[in-house]
Amino acid sequence: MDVKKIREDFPIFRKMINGKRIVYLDSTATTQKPYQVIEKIKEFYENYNANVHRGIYSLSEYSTELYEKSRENVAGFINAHPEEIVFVRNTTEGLNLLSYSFLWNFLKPGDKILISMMEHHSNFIPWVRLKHFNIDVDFINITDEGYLDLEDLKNKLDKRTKIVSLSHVSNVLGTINDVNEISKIVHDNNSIFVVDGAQSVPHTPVDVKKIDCDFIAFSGHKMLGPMGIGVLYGKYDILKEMAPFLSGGEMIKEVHINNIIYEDPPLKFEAGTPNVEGSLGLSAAIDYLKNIGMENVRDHEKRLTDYAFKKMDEFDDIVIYGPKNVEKRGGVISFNFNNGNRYIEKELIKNDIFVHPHDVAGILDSENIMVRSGHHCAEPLMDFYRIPATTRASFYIYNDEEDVDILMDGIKKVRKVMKIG
Amino acid sequence: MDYIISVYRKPKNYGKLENAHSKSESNPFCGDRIELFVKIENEKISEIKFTGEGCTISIFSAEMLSENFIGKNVNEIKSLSDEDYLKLLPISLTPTRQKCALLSFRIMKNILRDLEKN
Repeated sequence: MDVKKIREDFPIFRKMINGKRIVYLDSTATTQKPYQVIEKIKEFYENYNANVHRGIYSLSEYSTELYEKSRENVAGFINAHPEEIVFVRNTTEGLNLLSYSFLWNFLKPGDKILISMMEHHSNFIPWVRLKHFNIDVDFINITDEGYLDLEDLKNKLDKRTKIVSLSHVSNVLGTINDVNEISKIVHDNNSIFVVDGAQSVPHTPVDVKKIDCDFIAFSGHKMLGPMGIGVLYGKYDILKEMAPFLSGGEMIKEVHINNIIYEDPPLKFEAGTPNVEGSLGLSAAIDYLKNIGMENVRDHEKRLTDYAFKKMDEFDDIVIYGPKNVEKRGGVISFNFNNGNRYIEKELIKNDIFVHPHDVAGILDSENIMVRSGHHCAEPLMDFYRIPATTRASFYIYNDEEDVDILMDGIKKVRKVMKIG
Repeated sequence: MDYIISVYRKPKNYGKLENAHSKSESNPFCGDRIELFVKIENEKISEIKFTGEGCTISIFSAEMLSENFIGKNVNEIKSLSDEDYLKLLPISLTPTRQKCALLSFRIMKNILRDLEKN
């Protein structure tokens, strides 16, 4: 993979700050966009803009065709049928759609939902909120190394368990959960299996038929596409039985005072004017990724993670969270100096060696190194490790070994400024 | 920066106070949490201590707050805006880091507001 050449496709990487290039290591939060995506959106507004599924005139028919072509492209990317692809704003909206719709005509008091301790808030809060309706939510444990405890999953699955919703790849630990295996376990219990694919679909080949998940949600902006477009895949037979989420225009066949007939999926779940430009941008992003090949994307990130691990080994006081085996984790590295021990004790005893992730990120920023610091929208996971926060560096197709080297120099600077080591 | 870090490493007013007004709040953005303990005598702040966890800026700010506000009249503190408070700190901060610095000030204001309500 020619990273230097890939970087040339991304206008933002031409930008210099204080005469130095940007080292962007926060693709887990959002990725940068290649000009192919940016141009596609511009092209739409300059040539084809009209509302979809409405007009009889040629522009509207053409924009509808473009929108539906995007849907086909998304479907092909994860081996689904276009009718199973619901366009949403992002992963968060996809998962909220599910919790809301299930509550409407599927869940009843006493039912149970299983999630895990490593979930992003977007796969946590939409389910935990249902406790208000007397629906139980239980949490699958994780091991100290950051793997999902499959025995705990088996123990907690019972007759009341209607839904199991888990991340495919953890946005903090990088853990790749064995969704194929989990899918079997969950289906043996006749429960519905929902996958949060926000950190997997952009980084590794995902085939919904192979996984046999019932749903998977992911975001366009984390895979080179624009913000505001995301996808919820669902098995058609289940989508057909589900109640709508948002309602209004576009999602109906007939409306009378006493009778409303909804559209078939996926339109049933797409109330209001959809994000057509977003769907086109996402489709262009998928073309870009397909051109590189998702296997190559995965291999590239694996190699970079391995390289970064070896480099970080030089610092014996850096703690990395999550699996050490690069075969079982994605290109997300969360770390701390000295495990944040000061915070565990709630005293100042180790104050001389701890560095808060916020300070790490601030000092790295002075070198144009962009990493994330904080709880990464996974506070229960922070509680599990008894830390307030971590610093997180994450990789994508436009990062290379040089970026890792620059990060290591940045870490050396952090130690110097903060006077540790 | 060296000065900020030296304060951060050994803040003088780190600790708890018995029989004081106290409140704990966190900055949802980064997970920083500070608990502030305040004693008031005759409408004047007589003692401030704090515990908690946070970045250099939030701990530094809590220490500066305690050093600056002891001896001050309650009404004087109430009349301070966020901007006024930030001016008391010997550093200029980006909008994100201002949130770190303002955490302890927000808690202080909330303690005084609660007292007013009661």
